[in-house]
This record gives sequence, C-alpha cells and structure tokens, in this order.
Amino acid sequence: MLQCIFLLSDSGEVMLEKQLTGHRVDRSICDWFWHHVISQGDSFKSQPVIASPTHYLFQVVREGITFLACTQVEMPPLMGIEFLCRVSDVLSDYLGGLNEDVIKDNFVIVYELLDEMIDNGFPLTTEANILREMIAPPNIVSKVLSVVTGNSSNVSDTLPGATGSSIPWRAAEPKYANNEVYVDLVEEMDAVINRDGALVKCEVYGEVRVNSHLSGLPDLTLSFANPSILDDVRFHPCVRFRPWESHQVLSFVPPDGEFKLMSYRIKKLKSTPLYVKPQLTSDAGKCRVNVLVGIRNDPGKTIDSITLEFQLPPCILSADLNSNHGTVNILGNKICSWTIGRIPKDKTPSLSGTLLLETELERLHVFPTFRVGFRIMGVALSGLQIDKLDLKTAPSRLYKGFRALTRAGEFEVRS
Amino acid sequence: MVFRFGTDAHLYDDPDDVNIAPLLDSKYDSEKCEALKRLLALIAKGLDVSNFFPQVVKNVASQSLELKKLVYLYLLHYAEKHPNEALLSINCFQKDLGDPNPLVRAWALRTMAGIRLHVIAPLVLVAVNRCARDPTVYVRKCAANALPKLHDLRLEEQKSTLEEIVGILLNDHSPAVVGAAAAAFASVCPFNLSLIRRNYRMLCEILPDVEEWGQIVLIGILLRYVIARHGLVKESVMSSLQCTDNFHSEKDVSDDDFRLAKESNHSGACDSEFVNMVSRGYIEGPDEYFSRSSYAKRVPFELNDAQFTSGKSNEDVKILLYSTSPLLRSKDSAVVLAAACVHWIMAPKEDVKRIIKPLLFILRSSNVSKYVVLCNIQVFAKAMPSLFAPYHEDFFIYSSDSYQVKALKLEILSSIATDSSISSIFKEFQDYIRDPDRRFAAATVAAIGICTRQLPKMAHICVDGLLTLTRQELLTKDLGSRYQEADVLVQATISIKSIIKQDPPIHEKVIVQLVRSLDSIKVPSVRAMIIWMVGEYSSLGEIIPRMLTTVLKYLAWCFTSEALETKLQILSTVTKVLSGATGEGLSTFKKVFRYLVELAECDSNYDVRDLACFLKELLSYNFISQGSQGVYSLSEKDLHIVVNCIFRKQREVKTESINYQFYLPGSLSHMVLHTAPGYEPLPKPCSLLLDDINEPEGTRIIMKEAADYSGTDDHGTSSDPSDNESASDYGSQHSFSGSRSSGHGDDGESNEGNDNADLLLQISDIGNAAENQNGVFHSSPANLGELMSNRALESWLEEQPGSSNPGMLEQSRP
Repeated sequence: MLQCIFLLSDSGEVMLEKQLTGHRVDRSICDWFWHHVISQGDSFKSQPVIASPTHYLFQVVREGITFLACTQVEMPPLMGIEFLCRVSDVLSDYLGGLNEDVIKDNFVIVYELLDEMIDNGFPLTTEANILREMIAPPNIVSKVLSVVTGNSSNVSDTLPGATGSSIPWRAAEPKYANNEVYVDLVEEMDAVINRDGALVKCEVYGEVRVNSHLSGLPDLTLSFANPSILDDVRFHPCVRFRPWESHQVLSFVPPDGEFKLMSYRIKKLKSTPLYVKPQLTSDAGKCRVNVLVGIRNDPGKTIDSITLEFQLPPCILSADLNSNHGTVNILGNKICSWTIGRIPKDKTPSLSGTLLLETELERLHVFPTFRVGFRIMGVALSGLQIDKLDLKTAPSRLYKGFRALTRAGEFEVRS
Repeated sequence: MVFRFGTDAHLYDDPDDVNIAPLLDSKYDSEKCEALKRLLALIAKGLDVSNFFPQVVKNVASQSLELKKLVYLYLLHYAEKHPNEALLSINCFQKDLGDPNPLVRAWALRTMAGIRLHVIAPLVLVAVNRCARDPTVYVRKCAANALPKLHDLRLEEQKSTLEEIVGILLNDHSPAVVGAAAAAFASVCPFNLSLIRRNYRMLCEILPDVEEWGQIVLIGILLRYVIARHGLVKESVMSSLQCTDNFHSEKDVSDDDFRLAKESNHSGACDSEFVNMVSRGYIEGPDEYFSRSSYAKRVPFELNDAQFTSGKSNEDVKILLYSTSPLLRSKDSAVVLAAACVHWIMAPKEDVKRIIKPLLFILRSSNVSKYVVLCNIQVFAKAMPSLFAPYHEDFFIYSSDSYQVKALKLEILSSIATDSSISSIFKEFQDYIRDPDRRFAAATVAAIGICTRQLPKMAHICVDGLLTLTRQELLTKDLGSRYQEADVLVQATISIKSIIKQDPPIHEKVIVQLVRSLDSIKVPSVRAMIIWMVGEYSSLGEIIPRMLTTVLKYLAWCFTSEALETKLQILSTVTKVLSGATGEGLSTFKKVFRYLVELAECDSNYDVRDLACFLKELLSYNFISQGSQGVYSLSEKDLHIVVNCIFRKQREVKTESINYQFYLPGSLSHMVLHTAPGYEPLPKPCSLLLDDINEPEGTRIIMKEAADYSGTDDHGTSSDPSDNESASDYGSQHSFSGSRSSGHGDDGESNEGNDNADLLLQISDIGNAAENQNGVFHSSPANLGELMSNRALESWLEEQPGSSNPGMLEQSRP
C-alpha cells in the first residue's frame, strides 16, 4: 500500500508531504526524482511507474503539479495512479483549479482532505459528495466569516449520512424548490488521416454528463433512440447493470450535482466534418507549405474554435508562414499554431509559406503531423440520440434539459 | 493578493513569524488552531517541529473538532519519536471511543491505532474489537482499516484475534465495510483462505456494490481462493499446464471450440509455448523460477488433471466470473484490469474475448493508465494474438503518445499482425517512418522486420520498402549522427538482414543492391553488416561470386579509412571468401588478403592487429608462403572447416526458448520486471484442503516470522520493528541495484542480446536462493518483503557480490 504522498510544484519544490504509514519515506526521494526529471526530460515525466533504488514511485502530473506516491511493496499500480488522479480531481474541485499558489494557500484543507481520503495507505473516503460534507470547501462566505469572526472551522461536526448508505454517492436527501435535471452529450472525435488523404480511422469517445438537482431519492431512467450504435460503454457506479444488459436502459439514482453518468465509444464512423489538405513540396533546401481547411460534411451547426497545430521538424532553420484567414504563431518550441475560428463564407482558409531547411539538406525527409481542433455546439457527431428521461414518482415541477457538444479529440492529419 | 485573503496563505509563507509556543497554551481554540496550522506548514516544508509535542498533546482533549483534527494530524506525524508523551493522549482516546458522535469515535480509533506503540497495542486491540461491532458503518470501516496498523506491529500472541476480527468484518452486510475488510485480510492473513470459504458466495454477491478500491483487492482474493480451492479451469488459457500427454489432445479439442485461434494459422507452436511460459509464471514463485532456470533438466512443472476443474460445471468458478463481469464496465481502470485478470486466467478460452473491449476502452478514456494497460495487453496479445488481431486499429499511433507508449504499440502491432491486417498495418508503418521523431521511426523499421518474420509472405514487399528507405536515407547521410538518421538506417539493415536469413536464395538481388550502395553508406555499423553479408553469402547464386573480386579490391582500397567495427569485419569477410574460393579469383583474393593483413598489422588498434596476426598464422602455410609444409599445416578442406567454425558459427545458434519470468497481470512486478517485495504468485491449485482449516501453511510462516521480530525487539526497546522492516526493505533494494551493475561487468559480452530486464530478474532471484540456503525461507508462497528478516538479509549482503554471486549467475544461464 502507499507509504507517502508528495506534492511537487513545477519547479520541483516539495510543497507538501503526507506520511501514511509507519514506514517513513524521506524527502530525499523527491530529489532523486527531480534529478531524473531534469536529466531525462519529458520522457521521464511520462512514465507513470518508476522503480527508484529505494522505492516504487507512481506519478500523475496535473496542471504542472506533480503528485508523487511511494511504496516499497507490491500493489496494483493502477490503484496508486487512479487514487492520485482522484486526489487531484478533488483538490481541483475544492480549490477551483490547481496551481502552486492555490495549494500553498490552502495547505490546511489539503492536509485535511488527504487525511480523510487515505488511511494507512489504503483509500478511505474518496466520494466527492461525502468529502464536501465532512470538510467544507473554501468559499467567499467562509473567507469573509473567518476574517470577521476569526473563527474558521471548515471541519464538520457530524458524520455524513451517506457514509453508511448503500448509495454512498448520494448525499443525504436534499430539498429543492425547482427540480431540475440536465443531460449533456459531450463527444470527442478521434480521426487519423494518412499521407494519402485516406481516413484511417474515425471514432467518437463520448460522455453523458448529468447535472441533477432533485429532491429526495429520485430514481431515473434514461434511454437512447439508437443504442445499437454504441460499441462499448462504461458506467458510473450508480447505474444498475441488469437493466442495461437486458434493454439498454440506464436506470440509476443520481448523485446530487454534476457527474459523469457514462462514457461510450462509437467506432467506424464514415466521415469527418472538416477536411484538412496539407501539401508539402521541397527542393533546393526549401519546402513550400500549403494547407487548406474547409467543411466536408456540414453538421448543421456552426463549427467554431477551429485550430491547427503542428511541430516543425528539427531540421528547419526558419519558417515564413502566412494565412488568408486567422492568425499564425510560431512558438518557441517550434510549434506552429494557426487559429482559424470559424470558416468564412466567401473563402477557403489557407496557410502557405516556405520553410528554410538546414544548409546541408537538399530536401525534407520527415513530415509533420497536423493536429486539428474544433468545437460544434448542439450536435453529437456520432448520431447518438437520447430518447427519453423518466423520473419515477415525478415531482410536480420538473425541468429537463438536453444539450450536445462535439469537439476534436485526437484528430490528426499526416502530411 | 486579494484572492489570498481569508485563506491560510500567510501561515504557509511565514509559519514562524510569531512565537508558536504561547499560542498553543492559549485559552482560545482559534489561537490554538492557528498555532497548529503553523506547525503543519512547517511539517509540509519538511522541517522537524517535534519539540512542540508535549504542548500539542495536551490539546487532544479539546472539544472542537477542527482542533482535534489538526492535533491528530500532528500526532500521527511524530508519535513514534515521542512514545512517552504520546501515551498521555491515550486516556482521551479511550474517552472519545465512547462518544455518542460516530465521527469522534472513528477519528479516535484511527489515530490511536495510527500512533503505533507496542505498549498500547492491547488497548487498541480491545478498541478495534469493540468498534468492529459498532452500529455505524463508518466506524466499522475504520476498525477494518486499523487492523493492518496493528498487524504492522507484529504481535504474535494477538494474531488469532486479528484474524477473528477480519472474519467478523468480512461477514458484514455493508459493502463499505467488506471492502475495507478485504484490504485488511490481504495484509493481515492473505493465506488464511478458509476465512473466505465461509463467506465466498456472499462476497461474490456483494462485490459489485463494494467501493472501487475494495473491489480491486477483493477480486484478487476471490481469484486466489477459487484456485486454491478448486484448481485451474480446464478450458482456460492456463490449461496448457496440464500434463504434456494430455496437452496435445486437449489443444485439438479446444481448437475446435475456439474458432478465432483457427483463423490465424501463424500463431501456432511458438504461441502455445509462450502461453505455457506465461501461465507457469503466474503460479511459480521466483524461487521456483530460479531453480528451474538453473537446472534446465529438472522435473518440469506440470499439474495433473485433478488440479483442473471445469469452468462449465463448477459453480464457484461460474459465480466468480458472473460477479466480476459487470466490473469490466467500471469507471476505475484499476478495477477493469483486475476483473480482466480474473477472466484471463479463469474464463474458458472462448469467453476471454470479453475483456478486449474494456481494456481497449481504458486506453482511450484514461490517459494516465494507458502505459500500464498497454504493458498488460502486450502479454495477452503475445499469448493469444488472435484476441486482439481484429482490433489492430486501436493500436495505431497518435503523435501525442509518449515514446514509451509508441514503442509498446509497435510491439503489440507486430505481434498481432495477420495476413488480412498486415497491409493496413504496413501502410501505417510507412507513415510512421516519415515521422520527425527519428527514434520512433527507427523502432518502426525494427517492427517491420519482426512482422516479416511472422508473415514470410510479406518478405518481398518489405525488403523492397526497406531498400527504398536505405536509399532515401542516403540522401541525408551527412546529417546521420545529428538527427539519429543513422538509427533508422541501422534498423533497416538489421531488418533486411534478418529477412534475407530466412531464405537467402530468393533475396540474392537484394544483397547485390546493398553491396552496390556500399560506397555511399557512411555509417560504420551498416557498412559492417553489408560486408558481413558479402562473406556470408559469397557463394550464393550467380551474380555475387562474380562481383567478389571487385568488392574485395574496393574493401582493400578503403580499409585504412574505416572504423574499427568495419575493419574487423573486412578481415573476417576476406578470410571467409578466401577459404571458400576456388579457381580463377583465388590469386586476387590472396593478394588482397596479404595486402590487408599487412595494413592491419600496422593498425593503431590492437584488436585489429591481433586479428590480423591470428589470421596470418592460420592461413600462412596455405596461402602466404606456398612452398614449405609446416607442422601445423592444414589441408584446404580442414581449413575450410576451421574457418567455418570460427566465422559462421552463428548459423548453429538456435533460437532459445523464451525463458522470462512472467508476473500476474496488473501487478507492480509486471511493470518493473522484477519481483517486488510482497509479490505473491497464484496459490498452488487445490492447495486448500477441506480439513485444512485450523492452521494453513501461510499462518505458520507468519507466526514464525512474527516470533523473529519480537525476538529482535527484546534487545532494543527503542528500535521499532516496523522501522527495522523498512530498513531491510531499503537494504535489499540497494544491494540489488548494486549487484545489478556488478553483474553487468561480469557478463558484458556473453549476454549482449539479453535485455536488462532479464538480468534484473536473475539477480532478484538470487536473493531468494541465498535465503533458501540460509534456511530461513521455509515454504514457497510466502511474503518476500516480510520474509526478508534481518538475519537472512545480513548474511546475504555479506555474500554479495563476491563469492556466491558470480557462480549463481553462471548457474542460472544454461
């Protein structure tokens, strides 16, 4: 089981340590770790499991903060990693984002949370709803109160009822004047277009997010008009397994507030909303670049926040790139980013220019991959449709809302 | 600054800008809180503030819950340093344990158990016992969590009480308690599977409702129980362990059911050998693995039919599979992997495919677990390529993947490629080769070579592609070293070489083309490889023998400007050609040879000079001074044999059987590729006997071990046993990494092909063997970390790495 958790800032400073068992872990392990981060760079930071000379380390990096956990004995590595992710989610939720300052400013809350989340190296209470009742998140009211009265207790005096309930994700029965439940379909489209311009793969990874403010103990059922297109699904623990198996119906008692009800994958889609056509021709130590972006399949709603990003190959000395629409920036690490926004009606956005190769090179032999970003409000590109949402014993006034959003996930065009 | 108002920012920035001691003695709770927050900030910064302990401990009696919480946080951090003062707090805990507020009871129990003092252990045990029957779920859960803390103190006499409480909590009706109890079971008495026997059905039923963390542990326990109780499943992947006579017939039968396996013919013999290795690895402990690899001909590890059960008729197996299948849809990737592991080991082969989609799903949905999941898929995919073959697109590489992930995906792709998917995979590979990340491009080229080895049909296309690639790379020859272009070229040549090796005659033209491009290739190792091919295939076909004179002349001409590697290879190649030559070219070859030897004898490098001298002596009587017949003169035929023996021995080398240690999927040891302390293989099938309830094997070991610990404790009361244990863990790791480097020195040459991981394995295994010798290691499946008792460790350290180690290393290598 885990023996110690460290929180490191992006400059390698140990902001916090929490010893979990009697087997104390010395801080010097962080020096060892950071030394390797510096000498090996990103490839070390992307290793989730590391065997150091004295300990096994698990690391998760979020917003520049490194969550580092140590153990000396066998344990499922994914358990350590998932737990660190949970810690970072809870902290980011409590503190409204993660950065060095916000952790230092609220270190007492971080300690209290960690103490509640893990006991003797084994996770204790990780359910966000229960944690919120045990330790109040910092908010403006409590801040003002603490300044005025000098009393700043954020630790609850009573044990949240849900700790013993068979539905631990739902806090004690809340009461709302307006009963509302909103369902969002949020989809990410992954696509790979190879150098011949062929669509190698195109699939959607989607999530059903629910925001529920319902009094009492609501029992909801959600069904889709076309569940057969779903390739695979994963559920929040509140979803009952058997109704899904038999009728593809989601039956659940929701947590209060916002949560991810399910995630799904839909594979083998036939087309993408956008086309991106890169052309690179190189000779005599130069490379002409020309990239066209346009709408291939109109999804019926505006496509906005279109961006295109690519890494210039290391053998390029300088680049002179211009576009007829949007702005082009070349960042310090040779990443070129083209912000298009929306596609104008009168012209096709294009990026063109020349890359100057290093002197010995006659022609370019490596070619960059273009990463595409976009966002479409109001459409689930996979075509998944919600049929209906029912509430057993519906209250007199119930508002239901549905929304959809698709954005680019791993959308890559090779040149 | 505005945003920081009202937070504890000022406390973190300047924790000691006021005098903390008077604040602690203040009569206002708010001032005490502030003082404790300042102390906490100092702890966070890594400073030692244990000198405030006596003052802090007084505040434990406070009624304010926030103050209590802060005091507890401080207390747990320092209790071990101040055992006497910590005792002062015990009365308060005792009082709190009777508090009507369950939160107060739970906190008191958590802290009391967490301060880890031997003196109060009996009191804690009473408290835990009471809390285990508390009406509040949360308190019972904390009681379960307190058990491993007590177990850490190694109290021999209370062992049975602890196990009893574990039993009570496992029987709890609340899923939250059962999850924590499972964790307690895993650390207190993992071998006392009879405890599970009582509640098996109930545990299976409650499993889907348990919290995710408890699920992970409980799944593992249930799996171990079923194997120990009923044995392995006949229809499962593990069936390859059945006696070899039955094995073949068994395989035929299962092939009929398993149409997927039939589809891919290439996954034939080597495949089942791999499966056998893998499944054997799951059951064998590191010590058994070691003994097997050191005495190659020892009794092979086999299980008889009695140790197998039928997955179709055994109720317990069916229930386990039934209750873990919803967990394949869990949002927690660790749960999914644990459930997948059960199905991989226990499910009939035709049902194993159920785990594929969930595993592929977590590849996409949780970025952080990607690498760990891929590491596990890699083994599944190698053992049963047909499982993942239809899903090859999921392993296509994104430019955002890290290099480690890319390399793993390439490896998986090359092991699951089939005749139907290979064309699209190659299309992808062609794109990857043009990627700006040249290390990745080189890995891709190597993967092409591996694919072709499995699908010989593709050889022609591959070789053509690789040849174009080498030619293309030549354009950038001068930049080679700077952009790692050389790597790509080297990998391409290695791949071509291995393809040619499979069927040299049909690739004759490829060799010719390579030789023609020799002049423009500047990378020494690539030149060396091509020159090697000249010698190796000098008599192949019709074109090559005719080219030989020109090629050899060219080599002689450029000899002085070559790198060491290439020079050595030129000498060997010329010798090879000479020994096999007849007729017209012979005189030219001799001239070239003599010229080269003369050049080489004056070379600045001693390796080259030595080789030249050796070759000169070897061939002198036959070729250099034709006249006199010396004593050592060899006939031409003999010479041919000698040269063949020296230079062409590679041909005789068989592909060695795979001999790695495999670890259970989802384990830490599998990730780091050595046995992590505390790693346990699966129990021996059917080792849990029905009447074996009173004292199973595992208990005895731990009891004995606990005795060891209490023994050490008697000498020095101040030295805490748990400290000792962590020290021994530390020591073992240390010496282990030390011996790794010494191992490298010992066998640098003989073991080049072996990867580091293999070496790690062997060395970590030596540790065990040494323990065996010391007679401390009583039985096979025991907790390694716990068994590293000081005595064994010290004697082992003394032996390392001097006397016993090299011998061991040699033994372990057949």
